[in-house]
Amino acid sequence: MKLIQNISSTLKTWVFKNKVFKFSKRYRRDPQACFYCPEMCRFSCPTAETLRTNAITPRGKMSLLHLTERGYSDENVAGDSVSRQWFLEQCTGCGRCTEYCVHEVDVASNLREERNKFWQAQNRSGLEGSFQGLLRSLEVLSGRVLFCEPGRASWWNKNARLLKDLQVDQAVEVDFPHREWGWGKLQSEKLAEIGKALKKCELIYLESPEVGWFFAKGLKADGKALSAEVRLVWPQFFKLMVGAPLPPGFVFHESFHLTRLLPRLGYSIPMYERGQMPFHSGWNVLDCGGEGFYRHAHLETAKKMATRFLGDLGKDGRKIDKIVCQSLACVEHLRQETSLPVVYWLDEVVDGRQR
Amino acid sequence: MKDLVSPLGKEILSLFQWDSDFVADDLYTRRVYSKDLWPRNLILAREAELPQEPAVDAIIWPSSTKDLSKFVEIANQKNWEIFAYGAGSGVCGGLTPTGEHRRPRLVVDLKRMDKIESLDPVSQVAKVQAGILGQVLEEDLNAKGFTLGHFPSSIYCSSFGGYLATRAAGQLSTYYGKIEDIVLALEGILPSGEIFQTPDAPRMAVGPDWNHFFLGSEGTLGFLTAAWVKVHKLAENRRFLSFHVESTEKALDGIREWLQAGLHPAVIRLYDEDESRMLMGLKGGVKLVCIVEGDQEIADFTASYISKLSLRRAGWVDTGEEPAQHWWAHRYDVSYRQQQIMSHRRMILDTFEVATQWSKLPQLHREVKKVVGQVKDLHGGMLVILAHFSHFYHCGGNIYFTICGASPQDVATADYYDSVWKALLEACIKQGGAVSHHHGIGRLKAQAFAKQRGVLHETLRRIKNEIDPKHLFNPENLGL
Repeated sequence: MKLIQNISSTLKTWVFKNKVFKFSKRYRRDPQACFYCPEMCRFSCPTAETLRTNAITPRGKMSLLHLTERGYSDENVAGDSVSRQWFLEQCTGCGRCTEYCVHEVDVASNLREERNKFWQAQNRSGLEGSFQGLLRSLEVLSGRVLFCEPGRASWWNKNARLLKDLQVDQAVEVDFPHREWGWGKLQSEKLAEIGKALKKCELIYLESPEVGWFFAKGLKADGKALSAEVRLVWPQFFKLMVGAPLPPGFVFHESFHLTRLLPRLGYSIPMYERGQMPFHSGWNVLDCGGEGFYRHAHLETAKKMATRFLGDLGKDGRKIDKIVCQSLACVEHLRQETSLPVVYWLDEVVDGRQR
Repeated sequence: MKDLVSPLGKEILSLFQWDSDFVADDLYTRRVYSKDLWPRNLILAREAELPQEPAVDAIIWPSSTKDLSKFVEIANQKNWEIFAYGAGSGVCGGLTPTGEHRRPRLVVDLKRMDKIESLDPVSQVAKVQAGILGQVLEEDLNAKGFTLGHFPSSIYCSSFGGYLATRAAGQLSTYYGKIEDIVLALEGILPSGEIFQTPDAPRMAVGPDWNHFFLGSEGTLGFLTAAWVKVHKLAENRRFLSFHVESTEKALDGIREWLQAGLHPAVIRLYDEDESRMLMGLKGGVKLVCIVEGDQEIADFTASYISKLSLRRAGWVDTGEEPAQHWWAHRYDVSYRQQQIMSHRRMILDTFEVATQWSKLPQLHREVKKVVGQVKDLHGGMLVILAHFSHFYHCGGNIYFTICGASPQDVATADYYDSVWKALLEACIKQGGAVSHHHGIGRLKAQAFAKQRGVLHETLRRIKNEIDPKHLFNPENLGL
């Protein structure tokens, strides 16, 4: 037993970790990958900086996973499992901590996987029923469709010319279960069923980058699950926005899925690689750390984060006229926190065209 | 925030009910706030069988000096111990409660007080609250065209209040000064709850200097909630110089000449023979990097004069810009590295930053390094002491020792760590060096501090007894 403990201890040392790093990017997504430095990731974390507690720095949250790996119970680690889960949920998934970590430890993915374990264990019975409802709504679809965000179908129908440009037959509101709260495992298990329900569709456009993430992850895991071609709306219209003259007070609110999460996880985003993202264009960019996503679980914290990021915008003394936002959830969220005009990006594109 | 679980937490919230984020008392948060980054804590945590029991009972986050003042008054009535907390990155145990846990212990995290309250571009003075993180403060000042000039390698994980409490230094201190040179005036709260402000003229003759009394008090004499600081316009010019020198002592002679000629480069880092060989791969001699910054013409002149003074000395060779540029690009990396060694069982890694006058520097350097032999004779085990010199003044400078070792099988690592530190501190005191240049005293150096200061430490204790008679503020820290 002593020998096994010694071997186990050696495997956790930095020499071993360094060697593994050289060969496996996957290792960054292991709780052992964190070296527990003096929290050089702290100032980069929007939740730690907003809540101002040392208990939710990226390193602190990784230590919860580490203690569990060492065999300590949830009671020993944080009092109980619900309490431990609360700390693990204090993460927007933005990945800034990974960018500031010299070891590039992927804290956000570690936390997401651990959160999902908890939710699966909770046996959330309501999910299955709503999933069956989703399947029924998908089964009736066929041909070339655009999945828009809930509440957005009327906008698309009003701008039928855009649908025509995309050669799409209809815009359909679908509330995909792309939020991670309990759905992460489900989506990979159920993607085959979603694919089966969508078998009459030949082309699917997605308005929401977050839904794109949901599909991308599933398709990467099982490339045969979906026969239809899947595209994002965003690249089709972005060039229109880039082409328009933008005033200095224009602030663009990015999708952290497109600019941070997906590249970090190794998904190819041609616009990113070609230097066609908003920040490449020299625009003033507001990157809120993914509140649109996060607010579904922790609205109060998300509100505080928005206040903080909006406050940061004015620190260099510039006057802000308008915020253009890529995520509909973030539009709703930011409108509650600022008196500035907050415009959804497609509205900006269409208005710009009409001007 | 999380729901409160203890009667104490609920009692505190009932007293500050207008602020729902005021207090937390759950197990995990209490454990996180029970210690700072003192390596001894890390050793104990690494070698423990179970997660350690929290040493504190609740954490509070005041959002204003007024609320904090009210809290201090209540704490006095209730006999609550108070531990001021910035970012928790201290390395001397200043925030690690010790002694018997007789009274409720409350940590006061100042991070909600994190604003630049004012900036006067004419006087180049800013009022900064204590809870702001170093990097955030620097970025906010940069956005307005200014810099604080304070760049500790812990800048991402340390707070402005921590700099005040420990008399910190940044890597560019030879030009911008240590924090006591940067601070113009302080705002704080006495242990009685009264709010105070020190005078803010650039120089004055109005009795003893209160700034110097409170700076470095490490949470024992009340709270420092904000400070007026000197800021500088962002540097127009940065020049990089590097040298290879025959020996540490020859390099120190040359650096002394720069300083005493009135030159103030921002960075001077001299690595001794062991550190140059083991970390830089030099086969002989020592490495010296120097960075000059400031106004265009002044920086150019300083750099060229440094070169002129240095290259006429025997044993000095100009090695170009690259070594200094490399150091600049990786100047914070050291803070990521410590745990790579500390993750090994039995390993210890720590740093010891001392200061003395030019005439005593070489001797202090030699004598502290002899600790290696003393500890090996006593315990065996493995011990290495490296050193570099990184902060310089007209009359002297500091030595930054890096101590790396492994305890022998028959000695507990924490005991071995204590033994190494005992020898280090004794060597420093014997040579008349200051036992800390910028990390502070904490619990690690408390005894040495008391021994070295003698009657003055006793005087400090009497003052403490007078202004904090119940010893509620960080008891036992600084040996008080």
